[in-house]
Amino acid sequence: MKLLNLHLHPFAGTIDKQYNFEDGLNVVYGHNEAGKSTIVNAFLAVLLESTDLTKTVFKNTLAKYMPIGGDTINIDLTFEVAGIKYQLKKSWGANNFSSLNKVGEAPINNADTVQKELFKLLNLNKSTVREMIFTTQAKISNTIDAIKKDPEINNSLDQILRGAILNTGGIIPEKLKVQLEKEFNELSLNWNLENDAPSISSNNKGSYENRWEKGLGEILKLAYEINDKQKAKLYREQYDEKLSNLANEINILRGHVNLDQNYIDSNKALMESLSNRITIQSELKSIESNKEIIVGAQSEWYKINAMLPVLSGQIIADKEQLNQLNTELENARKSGDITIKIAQFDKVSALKIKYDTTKELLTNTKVVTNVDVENVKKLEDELIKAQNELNALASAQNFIVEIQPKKNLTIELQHGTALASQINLVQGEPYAIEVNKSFVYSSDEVTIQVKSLTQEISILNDKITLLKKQFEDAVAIFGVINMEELKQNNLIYNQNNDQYKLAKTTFENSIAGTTFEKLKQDIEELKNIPKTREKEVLEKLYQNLIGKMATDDNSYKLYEKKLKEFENLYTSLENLVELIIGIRQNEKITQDKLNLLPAIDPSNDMETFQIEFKAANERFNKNKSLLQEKELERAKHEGQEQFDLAMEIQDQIELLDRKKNQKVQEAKAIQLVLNKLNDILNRATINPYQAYETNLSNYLSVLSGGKYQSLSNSEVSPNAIKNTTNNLELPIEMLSQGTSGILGLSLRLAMADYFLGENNGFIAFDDPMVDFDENRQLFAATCLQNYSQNKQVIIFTCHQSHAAHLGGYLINLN
Amino acid sequence: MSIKIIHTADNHIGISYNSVSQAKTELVLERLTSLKRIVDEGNKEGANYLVIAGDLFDVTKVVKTRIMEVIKVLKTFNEKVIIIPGNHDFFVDEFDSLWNYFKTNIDTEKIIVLDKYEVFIDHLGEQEVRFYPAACRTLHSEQNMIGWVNLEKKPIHSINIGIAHGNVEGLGRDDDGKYFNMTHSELTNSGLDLWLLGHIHVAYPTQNEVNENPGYFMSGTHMPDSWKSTNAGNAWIIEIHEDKKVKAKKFQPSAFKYKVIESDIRSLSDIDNFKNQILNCDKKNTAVRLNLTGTLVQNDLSYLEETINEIRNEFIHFEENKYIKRRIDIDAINSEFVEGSLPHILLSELLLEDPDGMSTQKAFEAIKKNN
Repeated sequence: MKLLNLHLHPFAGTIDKQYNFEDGLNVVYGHNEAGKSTIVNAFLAVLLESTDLTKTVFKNTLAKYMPIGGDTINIDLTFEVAGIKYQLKKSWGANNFSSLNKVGEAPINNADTVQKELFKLLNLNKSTVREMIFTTQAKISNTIDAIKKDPEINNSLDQILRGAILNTGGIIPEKLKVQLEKEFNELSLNWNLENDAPSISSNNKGSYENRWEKGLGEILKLAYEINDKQKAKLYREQYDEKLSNLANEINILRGHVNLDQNYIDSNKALMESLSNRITIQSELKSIESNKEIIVGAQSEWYKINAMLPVLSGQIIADKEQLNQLNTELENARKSGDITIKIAQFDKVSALKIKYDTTKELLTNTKVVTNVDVENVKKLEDELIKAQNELNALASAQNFIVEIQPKKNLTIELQHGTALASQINLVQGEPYAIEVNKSFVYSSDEVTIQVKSLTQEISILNDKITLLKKQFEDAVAIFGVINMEELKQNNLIYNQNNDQYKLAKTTFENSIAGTTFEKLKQDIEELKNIPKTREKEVLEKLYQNLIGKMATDDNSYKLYEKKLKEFENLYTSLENLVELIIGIRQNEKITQDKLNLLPAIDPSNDMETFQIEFKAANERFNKNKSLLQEKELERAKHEGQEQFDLAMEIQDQIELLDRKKNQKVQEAKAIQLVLNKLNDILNRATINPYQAYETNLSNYLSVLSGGKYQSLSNSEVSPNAIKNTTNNLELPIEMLSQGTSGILGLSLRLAMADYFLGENNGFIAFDDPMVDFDENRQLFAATCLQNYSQNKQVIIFTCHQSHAAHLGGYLINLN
Repeated sequence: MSIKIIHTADNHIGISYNSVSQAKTELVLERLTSLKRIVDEGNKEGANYLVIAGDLFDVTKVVKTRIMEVIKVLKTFNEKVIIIPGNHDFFVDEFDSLWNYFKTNIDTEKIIVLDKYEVFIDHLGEQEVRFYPAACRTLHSEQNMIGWVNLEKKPIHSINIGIAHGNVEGLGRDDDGKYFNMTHSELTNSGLDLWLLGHIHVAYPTQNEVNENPGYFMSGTHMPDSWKSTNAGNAWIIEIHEDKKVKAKKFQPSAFKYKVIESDIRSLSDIDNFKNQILNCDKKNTAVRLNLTGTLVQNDLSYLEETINEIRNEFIHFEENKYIKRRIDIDAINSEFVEGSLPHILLSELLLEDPDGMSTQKAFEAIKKNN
């Protein structure tokens, strides 16, 4: 397509303007805001946008070009394809309108048809025109990114390139592959075709138990649905099975219940009869027992009434007899030992004599008790002690006293503390006394007292004298003069006293508890007791009588007690008789009741029957309760919400399965197609990109003044370029802004060669040299000039120098 | 004298017909109407008994209005109706909601539910007729319920008829032994003159008329009830003479049928073939399921579509499970694509490698979308 004339009337800020374009290089020069962008946007609108737009699309695309205060956009374009001129008119706004016609021919006015026809004439798709044919400054340096991001451009070029070596038949292989892969995915996403099962991740994700929520291909969806149906079917089968099982359990229980019910019903009468019989028999037993007690009481009462007076008389008689027996027994006892008692009495009499004798002897004996002797002895001991002391003193002044009797005489000489002794002195014969102590010489005529010279002797002598006096007085009391006599008397006294005491004790013991006189009287009485039966006989009789009396007394008391009990229980004997009559009547009635009960076959084991009946009853109740539970469970189960029958679900499963299998076949078929397509594409021996890559490398070399060449990678855009001066490869990412710009321009020119093909198409650039240094600007100008030899090239620039470098047909907007 | 029995079973009243969604309501009604036709036919034939050998109802839980409708229909039979519960409407006990309700509302002595294993004795004039029922009490049972019959007296002067519900070995489709399985010898050696059976939805014997006692009759369902029931509904009219000779003929209570067509369509004639198959059907009484696979050339595809559209609305229910693709043969490839072009190469190679598969069709569709 070659652009000839563009008429804007109006469009954006342009009210009405026409622009003519020539073959070859056209340079649209103008300052900023002069209208360069308006021309570009007008081209894009008239070539690419249909006039049949929805309000929303219009608002988002073209509404911004509506002139202020206007209601219509009008663009007319005159262009030429294969030597034929075409007139294109488009209006948006108040009246949407499209018109395309060969000059001189009738126009097409259908918007869609016009648009389709336009793309045919362009021989390019919308994206390619927008992105590759009209190139802004920014696009040039970003060309590689834009190509990579736009699959349409890639695919278009790929188609073109492949078409050069392979007739693609109007299809884009890459696009076909993408489409097939999309279809394949839609069918088999997360489905393992080989295993015919869901794709399962490591954590079992995707399985029927842990399903994928997203990414469900049609097959997987169907598989899940089938699985759900299978579960529903199983659930229904389990529901049916449970219902059946419950019915079966109910049947069995009902059978048991009915069996037991029949058994209970048919044996109930017998069981009741048996039960009544037992009750009545028990009642009879009780009556019998009561009767026995009362009749016994009656009999006993009679007996007591009879026995009490008899016993009473008997007891009185026995008491009398006992008294008599007692007397006789006493006499018998007394008579039984009279000889002994006399002998004993004789002994007692002898003892009495002895007692009397000793008593008399004692009475005639001077009383000198041991105490007496001791008391006197104390005095004597004290006296002796004093004398001894005196003697000791006197010996210290020992001398001899010589008494010269002048006559015979008897003297009493008190020597020291010793007793005075009578000494017969013979006249003329001196009587010498060794004196070492005081002494007293006493005679009828005189008493000579020799006293110690010393005070002590004197005191002692006084004391001795006193003691001697006391001693003498003491012994004198007992009629003796000295101690020996006293002792003698004491001995006699003690002997007599002892004898007396012995006799007294013996005697008193022999009459213990009584007196001799009494004994004597008793003996006398004994001698007068009348004759009795033998004591042993009497004792036996006595004991027997005592026993009998005790028994009788006991019996009597028991009778009395019993009588009291009877009176308490039955009030009176008459009343008791009435009671007995009542019991007998009751007994008869009860017996009659028993006789009325059905007879029981004695051959039946009633005990076993009762056990069985009880067991049947218990079993019946238990099963009945269980049955009710099961009935309830069944009602609940049956009451659940109704769902499809298993058979119906199976039908649904089969249909789904059929569908799923079909989808699997489809997926496998697509897989096969993809494999085959890849196979065919890979079979081509010539690299379809070879010519394109050479072309690209040439442009790059021209634009870089021979410094760079591009590297082949069988893709639309290269991954790296080569610096020919040092043979270093430069990755695209490392290129400078300027180098990126010349590579972008190279790519666009190389691609345009293919997009525009043999047709004399057009290509438009907005300030393509803005990032280039002076040299590169010259290289680029030369390159574009050369390019415009075969294609219409439209350059928009605001740089006068660029316009000057480029030359060509100038459209000055200033 | 002879006696006449109209024998049916597997009526499955209450079935929902969910899988025949387009005709659901009509078919539910038709099921009851067909039962009424049996009653009418019995009356017309002067049958002494209408015997229903199990599964009068589809489930044990049936809506009361439906039970009442059945009672109303059965009451129109002039003579006695003898019913045994089958495995679908099994009898549980006197508290059974289905049969209790049914029996409570019969309001006639003519309809007798034989749910116990005891002989039911009836007299037609001087002729004694004994029925030996073998009702089902569960859905499944590995044992049949006819054992007790062997112990019973079978007076020679009496016509002794067994009624049971279950599979007969070798006849039924339930071959896993769960459905009260009875053997041929069990039935024929039971000492009874005849057995009237239910459960297998297909009639036995297969002939339309029987002039010799086969030992047992299977009535089949009176009206098909699933896509697997491709036979027509049936009931037997059986005449038993006092000398025990038996004559029987079939009666078709309902014209309704399922028609499942499984066809691999490859040509116009295949289309015409299935078309003829279904066009011969009683359209207003036929539910059709088309399970079609195969490939057709473009024109034939259109013809198929036209054919289906043409017949679709003529049937009481019509559903299609159609997996038919445009057949891409070498002519189609040549006519659409330039020889040597990528589409041509791709399609012709796929056709060669996978002539019966779907790959050529899928590739063709994709190319057409892409073109």
